[in-house]
Formats: sequence, structure tokens, C-alpha cells
Amino acid sequence: MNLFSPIITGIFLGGLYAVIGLGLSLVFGVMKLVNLAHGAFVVFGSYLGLALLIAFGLDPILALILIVPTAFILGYCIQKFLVNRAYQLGTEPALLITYGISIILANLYQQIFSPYFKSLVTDYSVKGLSIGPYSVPLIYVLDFIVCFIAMLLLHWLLNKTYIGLSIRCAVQDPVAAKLMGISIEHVYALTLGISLSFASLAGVFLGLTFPFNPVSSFTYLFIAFGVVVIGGLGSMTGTFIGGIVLGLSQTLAAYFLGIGLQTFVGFIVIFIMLAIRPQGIFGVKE
Amino acid sequence: MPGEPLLKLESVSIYYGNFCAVKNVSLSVYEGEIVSLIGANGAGKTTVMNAIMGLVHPAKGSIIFEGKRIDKLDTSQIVSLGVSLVPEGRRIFSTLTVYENLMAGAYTPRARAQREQMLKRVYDLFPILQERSKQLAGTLSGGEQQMLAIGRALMSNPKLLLLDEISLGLSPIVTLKLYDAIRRINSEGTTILLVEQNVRQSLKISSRAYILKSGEIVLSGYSKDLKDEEEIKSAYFGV
Amino acid sequence: MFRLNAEYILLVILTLIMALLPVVGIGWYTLHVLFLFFVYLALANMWNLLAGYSGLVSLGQPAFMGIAGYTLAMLLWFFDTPLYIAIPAACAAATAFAAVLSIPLFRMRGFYFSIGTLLLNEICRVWFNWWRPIPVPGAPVGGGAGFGIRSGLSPISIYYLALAVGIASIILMRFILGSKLGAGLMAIRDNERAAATCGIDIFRCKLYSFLIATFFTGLAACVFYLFQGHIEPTGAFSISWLNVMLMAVIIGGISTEEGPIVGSAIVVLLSQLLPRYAEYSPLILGVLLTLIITFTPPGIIGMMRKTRLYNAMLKYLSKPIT
Repeated sequence: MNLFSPIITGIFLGGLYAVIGLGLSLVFGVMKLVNLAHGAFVVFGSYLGLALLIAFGLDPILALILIVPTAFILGYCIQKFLVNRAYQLGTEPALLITYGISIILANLYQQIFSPYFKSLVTDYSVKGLSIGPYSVPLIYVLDFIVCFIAMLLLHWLLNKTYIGLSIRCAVQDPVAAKLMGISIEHVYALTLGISLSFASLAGVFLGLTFPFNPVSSFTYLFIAFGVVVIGGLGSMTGTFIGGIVLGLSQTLAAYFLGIGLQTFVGFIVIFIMLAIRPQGIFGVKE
Repeated sequence: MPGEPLLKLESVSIYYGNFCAVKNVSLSVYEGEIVSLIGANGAGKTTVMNAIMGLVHPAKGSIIFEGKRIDKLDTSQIVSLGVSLVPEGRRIFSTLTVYENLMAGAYTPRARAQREQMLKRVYDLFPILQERSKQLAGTLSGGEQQMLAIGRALMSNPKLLLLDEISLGLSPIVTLKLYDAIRRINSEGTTILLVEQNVRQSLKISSRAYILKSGEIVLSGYSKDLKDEEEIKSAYFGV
Repeated sequence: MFRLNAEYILLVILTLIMALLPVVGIGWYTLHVLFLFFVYLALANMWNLLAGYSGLVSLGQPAFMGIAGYTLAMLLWFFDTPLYIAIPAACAAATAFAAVLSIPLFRMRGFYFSIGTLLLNEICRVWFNWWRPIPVPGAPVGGGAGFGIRSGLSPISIYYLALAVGIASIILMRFILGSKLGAGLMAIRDNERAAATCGIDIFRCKLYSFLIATFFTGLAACVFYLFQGHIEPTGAFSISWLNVMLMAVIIGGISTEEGPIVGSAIVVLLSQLLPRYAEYSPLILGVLLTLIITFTPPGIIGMMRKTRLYNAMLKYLSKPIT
């Protein structure tokens, strides 16, 4: 018996989980809104990748060129026409409207793609990579690399562009941001667009790694939320560590307790974190 | 005054719920002027400023900038037209660097195109901001923060600059420095409307003044004529 | 204090009509639709108590329904417990579960509470999928296969149970809203801080409302599972239960007494009476939900309350009869 394999897969898996969490954390940080449709947005990437793979034989990673902009536009419009309106009424309507959106999306997936599990199968998604005497699926390594690319990209976007500047201004002082000529509605719409872009990126790699079905929307919502809750909001390092903790807790649970309780342990970890330290291990209490 | 005013408020009334904060206020600001709006705490000065910026919308009356009605526009549109406010309490972005704060000021497309020029102008006006450009804005002293707030508002190269209580909580020396800067901004072609509690200071710098009391304009005229008016005292002390 | 008015008379008449329907030999299909309506009504009323009156947007009610259903199944399967004990015991088990969980849950505020409760459904689903209590020779029992529920009740008696629970949930809502607890909840909803300074125990008010709602939600679940005769984890902890409560309350009108009644009727009609489009009904309901929150947040009843006719009717109905 040795722990090398579950630990290394747990860490790699954690990288992917961190990408799933990035978008949710961004939206919460900017709008103080838990986007209950985040998981459905993640699976949106998986299904769009699947559709392009089936229809045109387009490689899912190449298809990102189409998937990410589509996701951005979808996110922008959802925020602009639906969530912004509900947001004016208060936080509860906004929360419930994201729930409504997740129901709509999950049902659409079911109508279009059936309720059964699907996968994005390519030749590299089934290859293995040897590390010393051990073999790790190649796609896990790719997931981990994508995690770093995504985090660097988001860091660049937030700190080096005007979009990022306007988002940071709006978070800190919405009134002062308005006085700079920044439209808060526009910033919120951009934020959801960016969040959805990262979600769809995660979705494509998720689809390459695991089978998915419409109900996965909710599973990945919890994983995203777990990552954010463990890591704390607004901290990219925290999100990364949150992903790793969750990934490890799952692979180690599978190793010690069996596959059946793998997700159970992950969820229990999230639940306990919610109760004892909702601002996260690295978060600052507001 | 010749020609059309740059900014004109025509019998503007503003309500917060049932409370009438500003009643039937009319005022004009002509190009190149410094005009001050004077009144005690709670007289409605900030509300007037917020209404010009579109942060609150008047229930009655109209606000006209360069011959165009702006009282129904969004704040971001008004900023794009060339109006900029240094808000009460400065409201700088304290977790952003000084440089980022200034860049935020140049957010509108028009301003973004000429931001290098404007940055040079702001650094010229307040050299301390250039020295501190990489520092977080929250670490600046009160006076420096106020300079940053003014510089940030200038970054959009406004035609009309609104200043709300810029001397509040600052030492007399810093205040004098700021007023010198304002004179210079004005002499470089920016029209200024300023709100103050400090009567003497603002009458000294402005060419004309309006006195606001409980949401109404009770007195207006050339600043040099207003200096001894009893009305100003009554506006303050309610005598 | 109880005052007889036209509302109660109307309720009694409608209840009697509903009770007579099976006697006059109405079709099974209609009866089934009405059965679902009453179950949904009880669920919606309880969710309205939580989200509409207590500020607890709980997304975890399916978990409590499942716990009640599983307890019922266990008691019947292993101990052959008589129903009049098994049903209250099942509801009590769900309530006890809620009481224990309220310790961590009530530490979570706002969004966190909603997510924490939503997570409960998944936790329970995964657990019951894995859990196989005692191997029964020759029968696939427990885990993903679930348990059979043999009650020996006729469908008509189950219909009467549903009718009783549905009507009881309406009366319960009226009773709670008129009670000290209701006054406390309303004060908290209007201004939490002011309520606290008036000496209202916010924690206790919310806890009571949470437990009462869970007990009744469990009761509705028991009635449903008696009818279904079977329970398995995927269906029991499915968020489609949550959709039913949420949509009935929001479409009908949240924080109104009559909203859930109208909303439950719409949800039942859309999900049952359009069998040809049945697979699209969750989609239609989802769109309806989103549109209502966006454009008319007070729901159908909220809209109707703006009309004079509806208000006149309400006034007439609630006038005391002496």
C-alpha cells in the first residue's frame, strides 16, 4: 500500500477544482452573490465541447476559441437582462434567479443531450504519463497546467487591464466608481461574463477528465463552493489551496473508505467549513 | 455674463422619500468661472452636487450642461460629457495604488485617449503624487489623499470640475496649497463649481457665490459684494 | 382568538367537496392530480413559512423529506410498526435531524445558510446510496435500490390523508401567523435589529419555525411515500422537490397566505395536465420562475392584490360573521 498515487492525483485534481472555483469566487467577491448556476455554467463548457466534437469533430481544447467567447457573451447577457434586475430587489431574489437559471440550463442539457453520462473522448484524454514507477493519466497533468494558466490569466485581467481596474474600483466603492464614469451594471455583466468564461474553460477539461450529465451541474456547484469556502474569498492562492484540499480529501477518502463515500467526505468537509469558518482558512472576516 | 451658461439648474427640487432636500434651486455656471455654493451642514449642497452627477435624480426642474439636459442621464454618461466630481470625504480607492487611482479617473474612452497628457498635467500640479505613484492610496496623508482625489477627477479632462468640501479636516496650510492648485486648474481652462462650509476661503477664490439654506437659495451675487452680507451669517446661524 | 368568517366557511365547503369526490366515483387520474396538489400545497406552505416569513431560504427541505420517508420505510420494513406510530415517528425523526443540524446551520447566515442546506440534499443522497443496513436475502435492498414501503392502505385512504395534510397546512399557517411566534417572525422580517432590542429572541423564533416547517414537510413526504410505495435515494433527495416548493411559492406569491395555493395548482397543472409536454414541464417552470422573479417579484397574488376587485373579495371573505 502506498499513498503516492492518491496524493498526486488529489493534487492534480485539486488544480482543476481550483479553476472551477475561480469564477464563483470572482462573482461573490464583486457582487456578494452566490451564483447557484455556476455548476450549470461549468457543465455548459463540457456540453458545448461535446456538441462541437460531435458536429465538426473539433478537438475540445482547440474549440475553446469558440467556447470561451460564447460563454462570455452568455454570461454578459444573463447578468445584464436578468440578474441585474433581480439584484436591485435584494440579494434573495438574485440568489433565487440564479437557481432558476440553473434549473433551466440543466433541463436544456437533458432535452438536448439526454440524462445519460457523456464524456469528451480524445486520444490524449485516455493516455497515461509515467512519473518514475507510477502512471498518472495525462489529462490530470494537463488539468494542473490549465489551473496555472487560468490563474495567471485572471491575475493579469484583474491587475493589468482597464476591465480589471473597473472591477476592482466597483468592489471597493461603487459610488466612487460611478464618478469615474464606470457603469456598475456593465461591470457586473463583465464579471459574470468572465466568470462564465473560466467556468466553461474548467468545463472542457472536466469533460475530458470525467464523464458528466445534467445533474453534474449541482455536483460542480458544490465543488466550486467548497473550493471557495475552504480557500476563502478574494484570494487566488486561497482558491488554489482550497482546490488542493478538496481534491486530496476526495482521493484520500476513496483510498481509505472506498469510492462510494468519496464525494460524501468532500461534502462533509465543505459543510463543516461552512459552519465553523465561512470566511475560509485564508479569508479575512468581514 | 455673455452667452449661454456651461451649467444651468432650473428650479430643481430633490426629495429623499417625503423629505425635500433641495427646493426650487436655480443656478448657472459660466465657462471659465469659479462659482461657490455656500451653506451650513445639511443645507443640501452635497445633494445638489449629486444631482448634477446623476447620483440622485431631481423630482422637478432640469439640469442643463452645454445646452443639453442631463438630469435623466446615468452618472457614467455625465462623466463622459465632461463633468467630474471630487466627492465629499474624498472616496479614493484605498487598496489601489496612487497610479491605479489616477488611471481609474481616466476610465471614459475620451479620457483614455489622452491619459498620458493628463497624467503629466496632474503630476505637474501635485508632484508628490508622482513620488508616491506606486504606493497604496490608503497610506497617503489626508492632504495627499485630497490631492489624489482632485488629480483623479482631473484625469477625465473635465470641462466642469465639481469640488465638494475639499478642505474638510485639513490643516490651513494644506488648504491654502489646495486652493492654489484650484486657481491653477481654473486658469488652465477648467470651470469650477465648489461647495464649502468655509465661507471666507471660498468667497476669496470664487467670482460668484450662491448661499444655500435648508435646501433653498437665499442669496446670490458676486463674491466681492457678498463678503459683508448679514444674510450669510443668518444662513449659518439662523439669526 | 377565533372568529368565524366567510373564509372558513369557504374552506369547509371546498374541503367537503374534495372529500366527496372519491365517493361520487371521480376518475383515478383526476384523483391522482388532486393528491399531488395537496402534497405540494403542504410543502409549499411550509417553504413559504421558512423563506417568506422567517427569512430562512432553506434549500435543504428535500433532505428532511427523505429522512422522514426513509424512517417510515425502515419502521415498516423491519419492525412492521403500525402506521399511526410510524408516521409521527418519521416526522419526529426528520425534526430531530433538523434540530441537531440547526446547530451548525444557524451559524451560517444568508447565502451560507442556503448553500449549507442545499448541500444537505447531496450529503444525504450520497450517504443513502452507499448505506445498506441489513442484508436481506434474495432482495436487492438499500443502497441505490432503496426500500419498498408496504402500508396496506388503499389509494383512496391515502388521498384522504393528503387532503387532511394539505388543509391542515393552510390552517396551520393561519394559526402560526396569528400567534406570538408569527408576530415575532414578522417583526424580525421587518427589522431584525429593532426586533432584537424589543426583546424578541430571534434565534428561538427562527428555530421554532424551522422545526415546525420540517415536521410538516416530513408529514407531506410520508403521505407521498405511502402512495409511491417505494423510496430510493436519487428520487428522495432530488432537487425536483425543492423546485416544487420554490416554484409554487414564488409563482403564487411569496409571503402571502394564498400564494402557495395558487402556485401549487399551477405547478400541478403544468407538470401533470400536459402529459405530452411533461418532459418540458421543469423547463417551462424554470422559465416561469425566472420571469416572475425578474418582472413581477410579488408573484401572481402580489399582482392581484393591486387590483380593486381582488381586495374587495378579500375584505368580504374575511369579514366576521356574527
